[in-house]
Amino acid sequence: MIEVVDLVKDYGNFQAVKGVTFKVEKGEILGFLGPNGAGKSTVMKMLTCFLPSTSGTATVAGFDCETQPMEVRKRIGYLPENNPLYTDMRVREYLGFAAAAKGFKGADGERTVNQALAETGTDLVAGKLISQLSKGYKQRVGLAAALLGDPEVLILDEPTVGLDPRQIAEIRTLIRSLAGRRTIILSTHILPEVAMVCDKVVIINQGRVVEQDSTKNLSKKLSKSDKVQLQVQGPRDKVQAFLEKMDKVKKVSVKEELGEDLTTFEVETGKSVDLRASLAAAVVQKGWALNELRYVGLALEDIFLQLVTQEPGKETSVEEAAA
Amino acid sequence: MKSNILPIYFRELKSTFYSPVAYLVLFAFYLISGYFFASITTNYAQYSMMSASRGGGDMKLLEYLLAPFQGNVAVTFIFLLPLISMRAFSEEKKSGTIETLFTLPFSDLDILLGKYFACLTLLLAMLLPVCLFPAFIADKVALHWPAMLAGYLGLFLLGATFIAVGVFTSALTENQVVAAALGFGALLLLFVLSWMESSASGFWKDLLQNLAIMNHFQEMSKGTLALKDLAYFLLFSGFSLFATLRVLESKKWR
Repeated sequence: MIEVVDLVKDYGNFQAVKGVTFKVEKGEILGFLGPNGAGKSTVMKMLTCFLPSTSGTATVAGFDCETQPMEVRKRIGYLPENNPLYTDMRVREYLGFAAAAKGFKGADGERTVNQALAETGTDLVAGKLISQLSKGYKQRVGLAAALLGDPEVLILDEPTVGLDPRQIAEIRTLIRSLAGRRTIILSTHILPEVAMVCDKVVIINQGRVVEQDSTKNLSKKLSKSDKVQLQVQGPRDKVQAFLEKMDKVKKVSVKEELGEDLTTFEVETGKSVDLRASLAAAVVQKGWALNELRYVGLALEDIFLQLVTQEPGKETSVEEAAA
Repeated sequence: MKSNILPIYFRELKSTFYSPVAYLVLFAFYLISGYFFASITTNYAQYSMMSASRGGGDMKLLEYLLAPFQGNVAVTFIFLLPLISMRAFSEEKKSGTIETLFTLPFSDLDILLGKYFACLTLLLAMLLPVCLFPAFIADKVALHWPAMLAGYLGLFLLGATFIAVGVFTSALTENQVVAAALGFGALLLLFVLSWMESSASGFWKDLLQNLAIMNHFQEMSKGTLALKDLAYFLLFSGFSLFATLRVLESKKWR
């Protein structure tokens, strides 16, 4: 449905996107994940034919974004970053305008608008000025505009940014409910969002795709090490030194100091090595009390950090300048 | 590809009349042009009485009343029309809606013409009442409407050209004030061209004479419709709009 091959975008001397390649199948929800300024929005702007690419190709539903922009635009529902809306219009008026743009006029247009209003739960505010709506409702109106005419592809640039937790949950549920018939690309810098909403993840950093896989696989595939967390009652330094000397243990760190002699340690081990049994036995043998022991694995959050933080500090300044 | 201008046109028109700027411009324009008409008519009445008492004939209405009036109105256009055209693209850029607009299935030309025609509609709203001003003196003097209308057509074409220039400057910046100031500057320069011709000679004089926008307008306000004047305005507006299209296109390449 969407195919991006070797997409490059230069802004003067600065290369914002450095050869991005990915593919989204029909009906999939793709999470486009990356820190601020990674090039997510730029890629999305190229997919929606707002910006031309410097080189490489992007095709949506079989149409090239460069040479057939009108065909692509007809098939895309786009929610741009920061959700720009004509705030001097009423909700129904605005949606009517966007519907007319997509060729739905008269009774056809009205039906399309009503459908989008119902789908996003904005029918109650249809007669209000957009400038008077809360941020959550504005976001829904943006989403409703994207949904007009039931486009095959939805491109949503940070759809939950700036919303309160309840609104975020609602928008996420809404997006999930749209899946199936539609192909969706959703950009975010919030990890749990991807885990919750998306089938597939593309992680992008400094204009390059760092990793792409299904949400489930990614967690497994990338964990070069596993983690075990244990809470021990005993002299902190001694326990730590002892644990570090154990076989197959890579690193021991103090996660939380709970009391005088009560500590939570995090023990990193090699990949798919389960040390729980031997750790428990060793600690107990030493005469210390073992309060808790559990396998932590590697959360998506850690993977993300692992992938995108190579040279912290230096990186952020460059990226912020680009953003 | 079927053109899709109407949705843009109606949206622009609504948006224009939601903002106070349109009303302020209309109000200021009616007030100023009403004052011009009243004072020029008074002068005309006095002078033609003096001329009659000295045994001279009637002073020509077009030449001594309407042409000066329309000339004064044309000068107010330099100040007022950039205020109408300034929001065309600047506002969209500032608020970010330009991204919404340019990712909907509209062509650049649809968007440009929709906005341009909306501005022209406001120009018509300014001019129509002013066209009727001569009706106030219809019982005192004999009016020759076709010749007067040539002058009003001239005003409309002049305004349409000014707006095309203003739309162009609006595409250059995201700041409406800068857009208006650039437009104002460009129009003033065009206006001043007709002063420079007097100090030039030969080829340069001819060139300046034909380039100066006010010369073409003055011909029309004297009641003559010449193809070269019509062509001048149409080509000038067309060129400005074409340049705007290029700017819109090049913005995307940055």
